[in-house]
Amino acid sequence: MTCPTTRFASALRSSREALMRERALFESQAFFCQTLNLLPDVVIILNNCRQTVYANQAALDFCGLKSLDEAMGQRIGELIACKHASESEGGCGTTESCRYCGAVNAILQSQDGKAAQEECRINIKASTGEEALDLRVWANPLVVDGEPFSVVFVSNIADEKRKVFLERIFLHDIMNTATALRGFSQLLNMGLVQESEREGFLTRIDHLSDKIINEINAHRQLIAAERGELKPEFKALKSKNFLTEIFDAYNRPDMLDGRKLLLSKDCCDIDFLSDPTLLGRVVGNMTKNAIEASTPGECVTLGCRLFPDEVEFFVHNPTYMPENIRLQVFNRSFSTKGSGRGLGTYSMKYLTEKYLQGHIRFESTEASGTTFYVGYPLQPLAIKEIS
Amino acid sequence: MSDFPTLVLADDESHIRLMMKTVLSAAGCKILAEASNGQEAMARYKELKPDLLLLDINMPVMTGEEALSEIMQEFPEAKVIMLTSLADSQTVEHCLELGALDYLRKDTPLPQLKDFVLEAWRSS
Repeated sequence: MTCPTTRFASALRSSREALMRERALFESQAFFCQTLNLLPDVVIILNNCRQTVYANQAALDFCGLKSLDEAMGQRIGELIACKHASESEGGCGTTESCRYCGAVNAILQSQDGKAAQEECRINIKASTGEEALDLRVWANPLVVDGEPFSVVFVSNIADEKRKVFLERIFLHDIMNTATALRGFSQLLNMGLVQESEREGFLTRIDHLSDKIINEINAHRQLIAAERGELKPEFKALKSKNFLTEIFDAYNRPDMLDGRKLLLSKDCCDIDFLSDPTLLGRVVGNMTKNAIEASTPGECVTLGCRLFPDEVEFFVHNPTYMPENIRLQVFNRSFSTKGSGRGLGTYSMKYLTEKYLQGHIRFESTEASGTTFYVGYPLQPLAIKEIS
Repeated sequence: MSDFPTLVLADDESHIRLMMKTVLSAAGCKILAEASNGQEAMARYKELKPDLLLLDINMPVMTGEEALSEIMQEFPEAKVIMLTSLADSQTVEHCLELGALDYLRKDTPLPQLKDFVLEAWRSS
């Protein structure tokens, strides 16, 4: 039987007989199994093909499995229903996206004899659609009767990430805005502002005050969305009017910082139903990201077009997205701005798919830059309660 | 050495740059250029060789920490003050180890901010 191909880790799998023999090595140790089953944390033992040969009760509960029999032979991504695990015949660890997976990389390091710890941002297929997980994975080498295994511990760090986000990003961004707000007020009070600049400074104070309120509201909205507490309010909108409002909100020197913002001449002008606040959050984020990704002098273009039963908004910037970013861009805590950031693209996808009945995609090439597209039905289906 | 340094200001927030530019220009400093990410900061430094570089830590494309590392490798005599919003002590410590002159919290009141920059320059 030929082994499936892989774009990263080995696709080789053990035989059923080998798996049962490896399982017996651990199950025969009653004290060991009892102890592992008392632990509240996920513990999984993998063989040299990264396949499960033992898992404690916490692991089975985490993966929604009733018994070890269901877990046997599966790799970590397959156990937790990672969306990439079913993309290739080789399974977990064998797609392009797996190259940037913390779990696979930690396990591979343990197979080299090193204890490893990595963070794993992963999107899984859940009953309600895709869900994001932030996990920390420890993988340690273990040799039993001369055979190599990896002992893997998994911890859900979503709360830790949320706390880090709150402290670092949200407070950082709010502090920046509040600092600038105070700074401009102080400059006016200190008499350091020329009369010709005064109105510009007052306008900035006005915009910064709005910005603080918007940042707090955006954060509250995302928390409510993740808890399933958000209730979209669908209203009649006109696509060109909506996009022009986004354009006007961002077409300011302090927002653009040397970039140019353009509205595509071919924007369609059609009636559709959507939640203007949530949609504004999504397309606003797309615009903000495109501005940040481009350099002074470059153009960011907004547009919308009509498809059968669907309106699509797009935002283009000339910067190419390298592979490592492309493959992680919708993961929950991923950011190009350093550690402890990154809910912008995740929130775009989350709000679009969970609440606005839409879909999101992007294209990025060196020749033509990057374009994000979000498409929404003209007439959304009856709104379901988010459970 | 002049009492008032030439400066390049690097921060991804244009409001912060305008605020600092206004108070430091009024104090006698000459702002040669601005940058909105670490890569631009490096380019402006190489091109203009300012007396002082004020460099924000958290920036897109290339962080201030990364830019500092590259600048100090090529220009060990560079005088760089790191700008930080929150007391990210580990990163700040690392920047000082890399050779940054000092660090400055952006929420420092403007009169003290101006005095800090001038004092850092004069004592360097």
